[in-house]
Amino acid sequence: MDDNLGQPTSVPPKIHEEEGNDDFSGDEDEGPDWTKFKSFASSSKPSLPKRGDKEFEPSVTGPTDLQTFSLNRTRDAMFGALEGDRGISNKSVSYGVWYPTLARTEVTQQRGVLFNGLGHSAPRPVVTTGDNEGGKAKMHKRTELLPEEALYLIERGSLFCWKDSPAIPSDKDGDTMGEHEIRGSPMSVQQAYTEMIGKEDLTLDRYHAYAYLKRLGFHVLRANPPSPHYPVSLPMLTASKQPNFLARILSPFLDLLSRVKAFLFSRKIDWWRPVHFGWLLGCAPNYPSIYRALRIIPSGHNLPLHMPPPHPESPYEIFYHIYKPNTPFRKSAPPPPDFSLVVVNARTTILPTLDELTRLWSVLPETGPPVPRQKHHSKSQLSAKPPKSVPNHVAPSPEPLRFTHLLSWFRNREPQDNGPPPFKPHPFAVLKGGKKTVVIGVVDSGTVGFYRFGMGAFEEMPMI
Amino acid sequence: MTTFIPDPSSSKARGRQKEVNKIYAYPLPLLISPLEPPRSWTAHIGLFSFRQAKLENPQCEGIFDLHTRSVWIINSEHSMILWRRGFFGKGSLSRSEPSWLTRRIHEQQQRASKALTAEEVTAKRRAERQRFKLDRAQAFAASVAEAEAAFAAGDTSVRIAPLTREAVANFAARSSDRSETDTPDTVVPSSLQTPAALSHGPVVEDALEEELPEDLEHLQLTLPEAFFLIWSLDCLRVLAGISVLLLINQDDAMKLSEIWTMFQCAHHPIQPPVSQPLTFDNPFLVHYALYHHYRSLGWVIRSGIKFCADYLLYKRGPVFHHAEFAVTLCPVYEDEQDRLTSPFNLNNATPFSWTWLSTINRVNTQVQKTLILAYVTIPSSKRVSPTLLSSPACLAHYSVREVILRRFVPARMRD
Repeated sequence: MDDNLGQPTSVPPKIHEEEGNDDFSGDEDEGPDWTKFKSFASSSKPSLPKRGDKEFEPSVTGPTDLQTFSLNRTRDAMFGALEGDRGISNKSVSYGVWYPTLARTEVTQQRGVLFNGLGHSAPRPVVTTGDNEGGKAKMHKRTELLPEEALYLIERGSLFCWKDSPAIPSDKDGDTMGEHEIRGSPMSVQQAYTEMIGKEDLTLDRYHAYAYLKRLGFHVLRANPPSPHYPVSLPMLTASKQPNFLARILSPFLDLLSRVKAFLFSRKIDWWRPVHFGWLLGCAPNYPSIYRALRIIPSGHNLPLHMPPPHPESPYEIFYHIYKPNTPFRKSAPPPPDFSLVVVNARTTILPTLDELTRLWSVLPETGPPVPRQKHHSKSQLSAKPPKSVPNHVAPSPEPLRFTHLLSWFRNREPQDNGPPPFKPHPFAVLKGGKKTVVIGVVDSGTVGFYRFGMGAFEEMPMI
Repeated sequence: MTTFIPDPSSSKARGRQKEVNKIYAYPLPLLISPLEPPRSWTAHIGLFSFRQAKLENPQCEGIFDLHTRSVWIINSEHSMILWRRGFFGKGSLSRSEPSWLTRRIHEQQQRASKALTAEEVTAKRRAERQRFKLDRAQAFAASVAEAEAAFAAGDTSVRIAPLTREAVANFAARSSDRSETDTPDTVVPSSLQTPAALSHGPVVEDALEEELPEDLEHLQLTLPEAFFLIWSLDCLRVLAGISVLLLINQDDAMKLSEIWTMFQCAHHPIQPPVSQPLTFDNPFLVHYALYHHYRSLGWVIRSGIKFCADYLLYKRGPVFHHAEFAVTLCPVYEDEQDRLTSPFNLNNATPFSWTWLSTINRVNTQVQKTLILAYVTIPSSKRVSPTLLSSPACLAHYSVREVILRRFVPARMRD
């Protein structure tokens, strides 16, 4: 109890050594720590109690003087922190114009490091009027923002955005500062919301998830490029359409092949006596062989699913690719994503059915066994970070056989042998990690909760 | 007969751990023991003798009761074998291991026995925790009173001092001095003390011989557990209970085909159950597919009702370590028509809401278990002929898939 009363840090308290540390969520759900905002307050305020236990428990007879005093002290600190003026520097603001028909914001003046992870360049025809008579349409590359990106920047205060209106000449040659004076006042946040939510598949739920992740520092890109100029991360390009096509052609043959294999290599089961103890004891007298003989219930996600395909209007489609904040990220050629995100509404959608989940997983690469968490964030180790989500095969085949799966784990482990000694993962960690993971963000009136649905493979790691 | 889960940090606990390992050494009721080393030269080469081990099969006996949908093991020896080798079943008057007789004996002897049963350990721990909470509340009230007094005296920078372990320990010492005689000994409920048992000396032995209570407890196996023992391991014989004898005429042990049919009929809602046709979505079949799948992978499966789940998976058994996974069974119908015309209302047959998922996930996260949704596909009667239901061959048409559910906290996944 006493240890938590130190200064709040970003290091989470150690509960479990496991990956993800998603068990402890207490820190996140509490309110903000007003001590951090002290710098905004204009005048000096009394020192605040640090984060920790409750100040007091309410007593039966009513609040005592000390309790009222501490409560008022905390309230005053909050109001004091909120009173201060919040502003941004003139030199860090960017300027843009929103085109409703294109559903894009063109950034006329770009400032700041934010644009390293936002925006894409798109060529647009521009009619230049000037000395030439009869303007010629010329392709001019400019930075554009998707509606959610623009909305995020406006809310943050880093972008002044005007709505494009036909009355204003879109002349690129003029002085940018002068132009903005002509256009009138920039869009307010309310107007920006009204304009941008609803365009280009952006719903309020998706925007909430996007803004939440951006505020935490993640890079968030769309999974399905809304226009040809939008950058797409590499493995998705080849794996997008092919599995369905290949699967449809090859599935009858692969089914036949697996049935032949099963016929040749599996034993005939007498369904009234599934385990022949006499035969077993002769060959290998131990418990593992008994357990192996018992495995007769079909299991695994590779089995054919004899169900109709999911409804075409199902909301379960991968919408965003998420990259961790420290990944070296190039906008034009983004690396394979760390997570794939689906965003749904909590009240109007139910859990995904088995076929919807299978379809979500079918486009994702398999992740290898979990690696230990990097303790030191040095630059050299970041660049040589063992790629957790590097795809082992570019086009995932519909039915990977077990030994290729093992082989691909071998291949994934090779780069680790040069540095630290070969790491043997704990069987529970492997079981919990699963083979493929999709993140589903569930939005309930602005609050987002994320769940990882992992494809389990218990049959590949028996306990005995 | 101890089921005390030891703390592995002390040497006494290490001894206990060894004892536990010895008692619960076998994962199945069947014992495999190697034969004596072969003496003839042919045996050395391995030409004629194939048998290298012998199998000990404890032929256990049980009674099938239709109304409770369970198989009762009355013989205490068989109960112990089935519990100790594989953790099958549950004592009808106990938490898990059938320990009711032991507890009654402890009550009568009224002395703190070294080997405490699990229920006694829990009762003792709860009493201690209650005492600790009282002491802590008193210590906190004292520190609050101190701060209030300081504030009233004019000190405005006072704050209620955070509670430290020493303060609580002080209060504990003070209160134990005061109320030593008042603290009830929860190991022995006073209501069950008999005058005869309070005396000492040779009278105690007489009391033991006279008053050894009859073991009113039996071990109760669920239908999937019982069928696993009967069918896969062949170590259980089942006699028909009274409720079953009303429906079928059976004097001797039930035959396997009858067991197969009756275990399914036990779930039929309409009486008499045998007249209804068998269907693929019978709860017995669906649960049995899941049970057999995890047993065959080496997990110990027990009921998960305590944690809002259907089953809990233990790596070796409940006495070794807490369960690692909580499994929720989600049956998936291949044909939607089967679900609509089904006489059973299978739980979770339609995907549930996010609030419910959030609830069960949060419950299991609090107890450090991972939630698994196990999807069992139920074959459609159009694709697979229902005549297969008369034998366990229909189990080859089910399939089990696991989905592992974990929360994703972006704030923690940044590196």
